Amino acid sequence: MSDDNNTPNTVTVYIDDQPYQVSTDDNLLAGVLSQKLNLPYFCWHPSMGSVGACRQCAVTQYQDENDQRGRLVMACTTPVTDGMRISLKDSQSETFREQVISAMMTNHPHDCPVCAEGGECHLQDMTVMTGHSTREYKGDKRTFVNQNLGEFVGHEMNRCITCYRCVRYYKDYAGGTDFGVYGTSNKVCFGRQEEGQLESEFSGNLIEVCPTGVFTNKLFSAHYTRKWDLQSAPSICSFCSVGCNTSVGERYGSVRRVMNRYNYDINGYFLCDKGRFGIGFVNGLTRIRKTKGISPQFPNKLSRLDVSKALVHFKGKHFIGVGSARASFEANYYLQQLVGKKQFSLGYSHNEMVFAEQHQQFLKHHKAPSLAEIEQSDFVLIIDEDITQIAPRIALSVRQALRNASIEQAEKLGVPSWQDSAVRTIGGNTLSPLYLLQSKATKLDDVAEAVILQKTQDTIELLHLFTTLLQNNHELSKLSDDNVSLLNKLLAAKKPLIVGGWSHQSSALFSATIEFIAVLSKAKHTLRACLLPPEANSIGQLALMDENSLSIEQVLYKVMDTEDEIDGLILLENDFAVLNDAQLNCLKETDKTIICLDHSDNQITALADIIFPAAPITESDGHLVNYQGQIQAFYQVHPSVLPVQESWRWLSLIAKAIYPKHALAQEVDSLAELHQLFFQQDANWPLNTAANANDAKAIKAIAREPHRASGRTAKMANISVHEAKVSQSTDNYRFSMEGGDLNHATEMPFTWSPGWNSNQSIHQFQRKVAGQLTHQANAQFIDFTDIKRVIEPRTPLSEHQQCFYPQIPWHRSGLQSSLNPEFALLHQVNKVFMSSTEIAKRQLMENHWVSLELTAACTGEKRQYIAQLLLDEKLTGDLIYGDIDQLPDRIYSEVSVSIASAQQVESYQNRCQQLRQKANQDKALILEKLKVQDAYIPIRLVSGGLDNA
Amino acid sequence: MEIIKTITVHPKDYLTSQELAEIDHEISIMETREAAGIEALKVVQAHRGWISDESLHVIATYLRMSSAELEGVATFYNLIYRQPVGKYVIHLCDSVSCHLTGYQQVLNAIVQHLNIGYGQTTEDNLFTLLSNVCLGGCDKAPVMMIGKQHYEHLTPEKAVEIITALQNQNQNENVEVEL
Repeated sequence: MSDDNNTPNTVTVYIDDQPYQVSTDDNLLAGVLSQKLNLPYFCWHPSMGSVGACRQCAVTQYQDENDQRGRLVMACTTPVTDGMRISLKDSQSETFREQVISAMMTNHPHDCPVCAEGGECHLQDMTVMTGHSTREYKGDKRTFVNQNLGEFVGHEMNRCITCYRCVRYYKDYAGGTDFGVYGTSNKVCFGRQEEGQLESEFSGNLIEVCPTGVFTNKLFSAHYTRKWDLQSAPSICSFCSVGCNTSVGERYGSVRRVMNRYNYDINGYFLCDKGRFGIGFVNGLTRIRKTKGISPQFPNKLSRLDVSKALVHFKGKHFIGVGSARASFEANYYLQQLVGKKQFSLGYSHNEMVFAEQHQQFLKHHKAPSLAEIEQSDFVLIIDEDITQIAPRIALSVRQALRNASIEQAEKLGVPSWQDSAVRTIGGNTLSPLYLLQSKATKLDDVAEAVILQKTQDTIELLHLFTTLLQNNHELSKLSDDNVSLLNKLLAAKKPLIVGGWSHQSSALFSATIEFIAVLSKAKHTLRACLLPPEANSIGQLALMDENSLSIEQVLYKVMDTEDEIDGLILLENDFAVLNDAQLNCLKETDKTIICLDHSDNQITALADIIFPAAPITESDGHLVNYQGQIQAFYQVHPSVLPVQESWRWLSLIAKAIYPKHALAQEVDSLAELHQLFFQQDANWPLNTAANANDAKAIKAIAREPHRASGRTAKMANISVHEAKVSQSTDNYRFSMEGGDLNHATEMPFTWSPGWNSNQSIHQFQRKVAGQLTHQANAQFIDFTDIKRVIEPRTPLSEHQQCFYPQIPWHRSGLQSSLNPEFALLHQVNKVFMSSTEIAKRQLMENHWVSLELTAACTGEKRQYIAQLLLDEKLTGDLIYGDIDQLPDRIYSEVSVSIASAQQVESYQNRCQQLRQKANQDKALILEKLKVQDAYIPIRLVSGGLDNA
Repeated sequence: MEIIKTITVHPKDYLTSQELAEIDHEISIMETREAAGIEALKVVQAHRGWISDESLHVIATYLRMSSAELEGVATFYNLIYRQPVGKYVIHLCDSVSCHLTGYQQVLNAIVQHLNIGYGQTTEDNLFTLLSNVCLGGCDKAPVMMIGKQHYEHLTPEKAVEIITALQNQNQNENVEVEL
């Protein structure tokens, strides 16, 4: 990807005798498409370059204006040159393109009516575009045996047109190893070597990369709707701090799928599997759909009066508010304002507060790179973070950055970067240097120049040593060879990148990382650094942090303290996963009121006196702040069914009942009104929508449904034969098929353009192919203020004690992940890894089952697990790491390992079996419930406010 | 105490020392380890007649490449057999020149004589019949290949003759062994 959108490298190209200004940075096909002209293609992909395999993008090139014959060239492998003359409309190339489709169609099954891709199929679009409209082939078609590729991706090989995009994406782009291409000539098959779950964290992109229906979304197919019938909204992925832009689709009140929503700076064309397949949590079995602790006057009809009656005796009482990094930026701010800064907690432990504060001050001075910028790096150092699991999309970008060395090599030979197969042949195994300082094996190990496996404590010491060396220019004698080459290459790099983060919960590691970056960036101005917090709105939380913010420990202390005048807790979408058993017991025993706002049952809602059902991200308007501090909006995909509503709407009701005199205790009808209210009270509120509101009025609200949506008058017919009034929306998108031009939306609910029904239509909305969107809004970033207090690390709970490093796979972190039964099915078996010396020392044997007893450092709690003991040849010393299901995220100071008895193993295997059965049952149950729901559409016809409002 | 069964076989426990020596030689003359893939497949096939799933996994492990990638190589080349084959594999060319010069009759004769179709092996495990796109003998069409031997200017009679000769030769060998 070129980082320059307004590239000066444009020349004049005559296309069918019309002059066009075309960029020389990309190939002719990209150039033609950038002019919004139609030219069919298959194997080329804007972020994967050209291989010239499918022969679909043939155009006729002419020598000069006198040349009448011309010659056929493949646009995707042809560079753009000044004054070149081509034709898209001449009969020679037109016939050729039609014949290419014709040949492909000899084996294509024409099963569009039963194919999930139908209606958004690139192959359909291209077939129509070439004018190939009659079936001529009468012979047999080749057939394949399909594979079960696991929980997410369906496989139907008969539809394949052999464009090779899938294998180029999966292997070359995403670095997957369990996918390939088999056979020759007319029988070429794409898939795994043998059936099984696709192992890549990015497998879901196959669905979007495949131009037809070979790879489809299994979860979507199970509860299917055509693209043209989906109601969609622009959303933000709520699973990690990257903030990938998504387009979420819905029909009949249930969310069906997530597709990538192009954002040049962040996710580009690709999402990770967590973001794509994890959305099922909003349809989960444990969704909270009713209030608790409020007795409505009329059953099934909750009114505002009921809410105020239930809360009235709390008027003037003191509540502590606990926000969360899962809730929207607005809701957190609202709660903080209501309870007051001194009574507000971000939901962080004391330990987390220490580095949260450092992180906040760090972001004040260092702008974190976007993913597009990360892809420009020529050196990457990752400090003890398994980024493939905690922020997968960044790992995919790092993989692209590592290709820069071979791109540079190719450039020296005059081969442009878009010549994909040529660049890969020239580069061979050449990769830009990636150094991993880490305490466990990760998926990036195979592309790293060096993996330095060591305990976190050793990494901290190494970082201190690096810092001292940089400051004093000492000789490098104390360092190992790997570390010397790390430093040398870091200093020699033109665009180095350092990635760190919160995963280890270690303030010492965090400050050592920050110190190293600070010293290094003085010597190296081009250094980019990116620190990864755990959740979707973690950085939004940092913006609210100040010297008054309470830690979880302080909150619990205040709750337990009988002298303190605290009457209760208001928990905003926080399930308190950080609490240990003892702390949770404190909450169980307290007689103080617990008010919860959340979307699904959890350990805290079980204790709550009052529960308000909060809308999850797909039923909410709001903003999240990503790892860079960029504020991004998400919109309701469908109206929530009352009493479920956005947290900020509940907070406005709570405000009026408990804090009637508060300036923010006002009725708000829309997010824009809420922002207005915040801005009136606080000039520093970053989202002043007043200015934007005028713009918004000028643009007609955008329709959430395509204009081809079917059944507008029929889909409610089982309830009423009258055409229902559409649900009113309070944002700039309509719950309707009528609205403003998609072209004018800065955030598009879905992408479609005449002739382009598939997601490939996005280039119709880009300034140039793979560039910024035509109507891209300016990114808005948080301005961090200074904090007066510096929080001291208090507990002596240190890295010294840590002796077991848990691997936490992407599908097993946080409440929202745990609500997807498909994710639970991904866990295979507990594994623990040791060095050969450690195995010998502990008198164990590799490849045997062991019983593992882990002692948590903070509380001394002991837990026992059964796991497979495996040898990691790269490990030295007593470092132990492993992947253990249902292991709480703690620091473990003691590990005792013994050979497991046959009985223990058997009972463990039975337990795993039961968990798998349960997950499969849940999966079936959810689907059954959704299908029942489809028959009776539960959406309130008029949304907004409670029933009597 | 239970040993985990899912762990794949260690290459050194599966491949014979001769196979290992031959593969190691190929690795030593290649630029990268995985480049020895084709040769390693040929080595194992020479010793075992064909490449089983287990052989494929073991070779992939030994060459430190994914079994998916090695499978791509194995299925690309028609001289690597991923299913058990007979002692003699008949590659009968069905490309243009052979088609024009009587390939169909030759095929019919072989099929009738051996009572097997394409992709099948005779009951005595002696012959497997496979099609082949061009053996590079268009000027001597029709052509087939058995083992490393090309047979050119085929007629139905000649093809059956060649196969019968092999059958007889094999019978004599067996007799010799028995004696």
